[in-house]
Amino acid sequence: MADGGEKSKVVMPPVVKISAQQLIEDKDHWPEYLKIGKFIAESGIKLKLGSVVIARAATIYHRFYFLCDISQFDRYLVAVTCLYLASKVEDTPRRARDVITTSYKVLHKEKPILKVDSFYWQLRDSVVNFELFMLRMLKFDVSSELPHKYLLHYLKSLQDWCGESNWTTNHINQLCWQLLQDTSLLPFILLYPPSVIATAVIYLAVKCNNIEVPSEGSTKPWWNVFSPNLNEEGLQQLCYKFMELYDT
Amino acid sequence: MSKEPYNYPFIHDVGKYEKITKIGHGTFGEVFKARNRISKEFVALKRVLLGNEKEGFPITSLREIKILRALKHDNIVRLQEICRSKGTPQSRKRGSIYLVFEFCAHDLAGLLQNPQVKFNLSEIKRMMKHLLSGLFYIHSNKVLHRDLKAANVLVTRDGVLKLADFGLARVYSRKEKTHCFTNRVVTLWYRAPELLLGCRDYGPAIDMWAIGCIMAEFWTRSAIMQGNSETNQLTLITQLCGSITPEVYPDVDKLDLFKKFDLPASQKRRVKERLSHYVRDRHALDLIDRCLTIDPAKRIDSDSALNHDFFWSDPLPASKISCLSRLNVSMFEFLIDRKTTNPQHRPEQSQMSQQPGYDRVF
Repeated sequence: MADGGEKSKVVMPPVVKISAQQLIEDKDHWPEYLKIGKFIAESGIKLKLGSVVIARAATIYHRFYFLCDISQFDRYLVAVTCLYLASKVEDTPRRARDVITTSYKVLHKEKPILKVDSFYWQLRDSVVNFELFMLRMLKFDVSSELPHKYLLHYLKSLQDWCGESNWTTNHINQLCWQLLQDTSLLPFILLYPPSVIATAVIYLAVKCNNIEVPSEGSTKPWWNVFSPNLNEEGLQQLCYKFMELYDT
Repeated sequence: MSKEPYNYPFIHDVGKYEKITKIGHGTFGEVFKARNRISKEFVALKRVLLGNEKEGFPITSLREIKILRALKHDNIVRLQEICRSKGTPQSRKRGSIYLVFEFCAHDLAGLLQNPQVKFNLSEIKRMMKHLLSGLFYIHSNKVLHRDLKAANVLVTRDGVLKLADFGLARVYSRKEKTHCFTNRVVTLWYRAPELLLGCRDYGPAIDMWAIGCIMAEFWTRSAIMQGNSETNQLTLITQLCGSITPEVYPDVDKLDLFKKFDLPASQKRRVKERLSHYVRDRHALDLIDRCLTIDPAKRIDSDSALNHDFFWSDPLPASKISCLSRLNVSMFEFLIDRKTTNPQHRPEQSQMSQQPGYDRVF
């Protein structure tokens, strides 16, 4: 499609209307953006896909959204394709038919369940073709690191360090996992390294529960063990952004 | 491309490479030798078959891309980029996706089938070291290859071995003990006994079994156990490695197919005895013997294999392989099969049933 000298029907100048940075900064854009994220999450849960797969789908969506002029595409088609692709990338594939009928039901709650007719086949072809299109746009780079494995690793280290009782009575692990899941619906992952996101999630959970992480004479605060270049101010700013998510 | 006013993020057209010749094929698609039109550098193009896919882009290709992107090692084939080709509207053909790999001059199966190619002991040690280093690297990264065989080991002109074809590879985790992997992996002749018996939570040991088979081939020059069916393969394994019983493999009776097969009983283990006609070096024999251990839990792993005396006794692994630089033609199993028909090699050939593999090899 990009070749010169060829009469190409697709005219798609990569006009990016808004950057990921601008979106995160300006809360007014959030409700519109989160609509798709919540659709991905709800369809993902109905498809019995795990947290990581849903976060993967959201991440592919973020990448694609800011790569091209999203107004040229149907956002729900993009979202469904992200879920379908993410289920494959994370090795828990769902059949195209399940992905399409489930997400159709999520989108059109009042309508009856989608039958396998010519309309279904149109949808399926759209998803399959769009999958290839997305893969090409993203240069097949769809398995970038997510914060989840960092979170698990950091939580394990902190739990050993602080003592298990503090952690379990306050349900820190569950809280962190849920926070991470919610924040993955906004494109933080495009702006911060996965390790920083994981650290910030723990910082927020620890502060909310008034837990002191002992430093045992070390001058280094605990978060610098995981993210050496992070200062507390930056961490707090990121946490404020996370909290704003719950006012939206 | 430069005519375009926009910097599209699309991947390149495969037309930047000039296809030279087909060097392999299989269920996955075709492999071509090609050359970059500008840099003149050679590459291998592997085409991903699209179009017949009911389920969109094949998950196996996605896995291969994901795994190869994450793995960077001298003994793993390098994925350079991914290209596309246009579909032609006239023939209603859909476009294809190509994986572009660094080009390696030979594959191990092709080299071993050529009687003119001779390796001495220290050269074999070097090649085995490369093979095990590559495998140790992928296993440390929690990846199983699941299709190791001589044809999937590439050899460069400089005698560097590279593991290739990660089309069946998968990520595994050591803690999760409830894998539900398919056991229909690995080419029959290289398939470990636990796979043949229906095991579905296997691990890196299945790759080590294949390594044992490949290692023996350096001396025997053809696959050591050329079964023509799963039952026949198990029989061949029993005849070489001894009967498969709960005494040698404690959990074997828990495997689905253990009771279904009527396997030869009270066979003695004769790995060293039967291979000693070919393999004179006692350390080499010992390493093969340890790779071909029936119980996957007791089978040697890639780390211990690299520490085996085989690599640390005289003659030490060679620094180069002399005969390769004299080879002017690429040795690929695919090309050899076409030129000189080699009836022994394809398991589906009718000769196989009248003349079982073990008779010929030993």
